[in-house]
Amino acid sequence: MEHIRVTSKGSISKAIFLILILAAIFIAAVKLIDLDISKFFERLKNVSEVLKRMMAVDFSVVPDTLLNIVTSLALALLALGVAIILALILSFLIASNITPNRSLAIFIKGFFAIIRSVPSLVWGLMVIASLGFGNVSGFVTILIFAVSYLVKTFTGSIEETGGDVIEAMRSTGASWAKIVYHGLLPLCITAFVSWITICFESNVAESIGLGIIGVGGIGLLLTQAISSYDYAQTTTIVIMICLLMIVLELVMTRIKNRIKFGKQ
Amino acid sequence: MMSDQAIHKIPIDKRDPKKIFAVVAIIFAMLIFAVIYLKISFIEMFMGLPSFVLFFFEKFFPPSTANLKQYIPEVINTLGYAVISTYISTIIAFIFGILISKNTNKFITLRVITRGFVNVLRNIPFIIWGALLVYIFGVGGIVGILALILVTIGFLSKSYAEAIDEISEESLEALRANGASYLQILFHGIIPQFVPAWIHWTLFAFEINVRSSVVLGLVGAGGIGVLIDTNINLFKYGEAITIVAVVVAIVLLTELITNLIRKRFVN
Repeated sequence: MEHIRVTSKGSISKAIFLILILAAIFIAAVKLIDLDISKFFERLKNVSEVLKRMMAVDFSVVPDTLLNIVTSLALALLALGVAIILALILSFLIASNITPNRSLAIFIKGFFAIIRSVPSLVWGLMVIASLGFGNVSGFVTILIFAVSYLVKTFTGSIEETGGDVIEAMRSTGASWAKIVYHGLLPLCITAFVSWITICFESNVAESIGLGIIGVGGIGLLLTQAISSYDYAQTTTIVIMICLLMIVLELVMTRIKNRIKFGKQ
Repeated sequence: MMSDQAIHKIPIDKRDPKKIFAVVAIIFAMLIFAVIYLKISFIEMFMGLPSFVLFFFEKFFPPSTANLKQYIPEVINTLGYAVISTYISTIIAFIFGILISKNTNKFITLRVITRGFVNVLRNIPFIIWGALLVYIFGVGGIVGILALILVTIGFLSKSYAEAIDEISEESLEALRANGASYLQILFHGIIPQFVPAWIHWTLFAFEINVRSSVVLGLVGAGGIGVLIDTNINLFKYGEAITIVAVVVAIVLLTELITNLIRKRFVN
């Protein structure tokens, strides 16, 4: 029976070549960094012991946890609120199709690209070094993260979908403000709401993560439980964080669908 | 006569002003509650960002480039962690992706179980995983990589599954009608159409991993984050900002490279 060729000629050799290159990169990475593989396998013996101890749950810490959850949520919400206002103003100023000043727009875009390249925990370290511990530092750190995220996504939406509306309104002589308020805002509002809900979820995740460096909230509680080697408390808090994120995702999806498809 | 009839105003949009007002009012109330609960004064809140910016430029500049060469090993470590974790996660996430997608897995229970497992991995913030794993396994580079792998698997599995779901049913059905086995459908039907999305998401995960592995140091798992933390604790702000600048350079470079790879291979 004739063998019918299923793939194009030479594609197998190309694929093998690609795999070799990728494997080379991987091996280089493993060689270059110092991994203590032997130490790791030594400690593996302790793992079953630790996991056994973690199987306990400590309900006494639940009320404290709930209060801290509110703190984390409050920080996330506050930062989101201020971020929305700032991002709305900024993104309509820097979107390439309606920016009043091209060079300023490019400058601000680059500025935010740099802000986004710094991981938010690093921002947290710098903010705490400047402003001290406390809820204001948490607020400012999450704000930096949220504004840069929203500006990027809002601007993306405006540039992607705004073209025709802007051209139509410009040809009737509408001013910048009118184009923004009557044309672009109604057009992009559903996309903006999606971004806002994603941003809120990310904000909550950030505010939990910031607990590692001392920002109040449930992350801090977890860090404290870990440092005091309280296994049961740690497990309880982790379970509550899990539940929180799942509930949050469900609520956000419902809100998103409500706004997109109207009350049904 | 016209003046006798009520002039009907045709509503331009369906927006109910009362409902919008209620929603805005609730959101406002939540925000004010948040401010009170957090015990921040409004002034503190509004002055927060400006004061930070002032402090930032006052304390963190000028950057000191004295120890630039000493940072190189940590930079390589950071990139290495990202590379290794992305590689391993891709393979495992691909398997999970196949298990989650309706196109490739016809058993609902298996789909739901895998999806639930992957959701747990995804929902726990990355740093919390890091802290937990260091708690269980101790400090070290491998632990950090493990944390990166878990989070990346969570993220990629869902993205891969969505991409696989988008593959057209018709081409798969055509293959099936010709008597192709499951594996043949997988290799000749699904994978070729899946490759662009695979490249896109994997590169995206790599970018995220580079940024995450920077902060791994803060939970004791190695990487350049340790240097930043140490320098800040020693009040050597000039050094700290230099390291941050190095981080920015790495991240921007990674973005550039991934964009180049995307342009070459996805087109």
